[in-house]
Amino acid sequence: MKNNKIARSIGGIDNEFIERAAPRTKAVRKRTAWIKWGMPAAACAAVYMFFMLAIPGLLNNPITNPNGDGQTVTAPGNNGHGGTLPEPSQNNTMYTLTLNKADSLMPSRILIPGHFWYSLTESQLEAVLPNLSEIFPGGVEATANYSGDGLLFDVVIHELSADGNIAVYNQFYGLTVIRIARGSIAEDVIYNNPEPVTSEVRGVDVTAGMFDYGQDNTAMYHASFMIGDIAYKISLHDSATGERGINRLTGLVNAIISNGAADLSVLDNPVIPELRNERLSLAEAYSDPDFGVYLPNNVPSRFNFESAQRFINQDYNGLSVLWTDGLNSFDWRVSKATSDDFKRIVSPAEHEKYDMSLYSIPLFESVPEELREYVHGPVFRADEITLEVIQARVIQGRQGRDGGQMYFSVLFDGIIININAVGVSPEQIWDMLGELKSLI
Amino acid sequence: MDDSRIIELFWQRSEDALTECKRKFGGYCRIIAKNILYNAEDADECVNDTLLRAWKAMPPEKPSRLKAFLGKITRNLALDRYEAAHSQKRGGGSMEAVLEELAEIPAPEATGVGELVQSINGFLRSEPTENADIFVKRYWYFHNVNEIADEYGCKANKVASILFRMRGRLKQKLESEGFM
Repeated sequence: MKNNKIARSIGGIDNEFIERAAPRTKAVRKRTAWIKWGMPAAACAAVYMFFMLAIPGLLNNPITNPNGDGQTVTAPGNNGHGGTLPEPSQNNTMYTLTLNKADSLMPSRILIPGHFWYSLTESQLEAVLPNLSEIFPGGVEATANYSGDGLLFDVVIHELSADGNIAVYNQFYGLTVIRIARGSIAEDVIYNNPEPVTSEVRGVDVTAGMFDYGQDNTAMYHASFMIGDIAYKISLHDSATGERGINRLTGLVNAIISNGAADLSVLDNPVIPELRNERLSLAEAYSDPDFGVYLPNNVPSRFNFESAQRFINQDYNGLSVLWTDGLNSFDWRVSKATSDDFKRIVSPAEHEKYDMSLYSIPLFESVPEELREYVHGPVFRADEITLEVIQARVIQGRQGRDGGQMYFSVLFDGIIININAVGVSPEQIWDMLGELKSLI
Repeated sequence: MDDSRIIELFWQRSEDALTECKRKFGGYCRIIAKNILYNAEDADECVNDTLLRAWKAMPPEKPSRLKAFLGKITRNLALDRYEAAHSQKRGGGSMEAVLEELAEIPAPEATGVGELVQSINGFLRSEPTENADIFVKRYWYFHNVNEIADEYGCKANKVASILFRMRGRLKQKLESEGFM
């Protein structure tokens, strides 16, 4: 075996290095999907909750409701977003929240093994969050997330705006997000106080807080609590100053607790869609009955097979193969074309939609907004693509051994090949595609 | 079950040691073997051979870190199988790619493996934690570059670049220590 001694020597390194770099095993690794390029975000098994920001710790004292007596406040009226907060309960009490200052947010990068999902029907939503239409007049979008064995992982609910899209604050931050799960939900907020103060709302302990992003006058207001064995997490974004954010959070927490625990049993026993996520050998990849024939047979000899993966979920059905040569690589991904792919079809005559020599780095500054989705992901029909088109896709200034970087897609009658290459010449890509053009 | 309790079972020659070992570390060893051999059946055999080796080793061995102890056995067994398969023009996976990369660091013939290990340990200690982990994931666990990139939330090219520079620094270190 080549270079046996170095490989064997590395085998004897100290145990601390080995254990520190150990892979996760079984349920976390098995069937998790990490298609990172060219995939719609919803198809990924990793669900990101929040971005991490590190802001230096502020005061240690918790912030109390500025209305101040800490006992009761009358329910405020319009919450400033076109809706009203619910009426107070029979005893006319709106329980207040004590806000804890949050130091930072943690990225809750959740790996859901064999992830699949469904949107909730109206009747399911009513069982999970009764009377919510009174609070969110624009409606909500609710998704039940499952692991591959059909167990409910959680329910994620987004407030919608009047146009039916997920409502945002300050153009970027999700307006209101509610997560509900059996048992527990991973913590994603780091409070300045290691033992945050809790508030009691109708006999339920609520941990509430506020994280000031320190920019755009925006803060995240956050509350977590349990009703029986059902865990809730609410996060909403609003102004970092004034009372509107805390008032919205207070109203929402009171309303949810008033209505009692969610009935998640309505979401049990889903139909499990076809799922597949497995590593293949090169031979197995070429033998794949759906996509193997779209792999190149004349790979440049200096490239070595690195990995192959076959993946199917609700949004994606494809085969990806990676070849490498040191820093150089090309990634060949074959899948069934989607409606999004058809929208990005570009003709060779439309140079402004794909010719990288027309634009300078950084592309987000030089490429006109209306052309961005084409320039970043052009799709060429197999019978129209030429060597000149491929040459035009080379990004200047990113040099590998033979050439720069290029990425584009080729459409073969319902099958799309996404190519992402570094250090491969356009002529080599053209050769590899040329053989496949006989499939047209 | 606690690692020390499992080791105790080995010393008591109780076959529960094998059951507990497989339950706790079977998946971990299987990943190591599959990364090298790329074949599920061979990887499973490797895991079983690991348990047999562990049974023979303990006693008298009493490893301070059972996971790494078993991992090393699996890695060596898998490499042995790979060599045998490779010499017969069988096998697959990304081993060739890894070995091509390590070929940039020519190993001195007249030096023992033990001395090299010491130097490599020193090299890993001198590197930032994340870099050292990436190096170990690639060259000890034989993870492919995409897997490592996904774990760190970055592009494969960035991982390849880190590994490329680390191989260069390791080579310089070995040269400066007179290994080459």
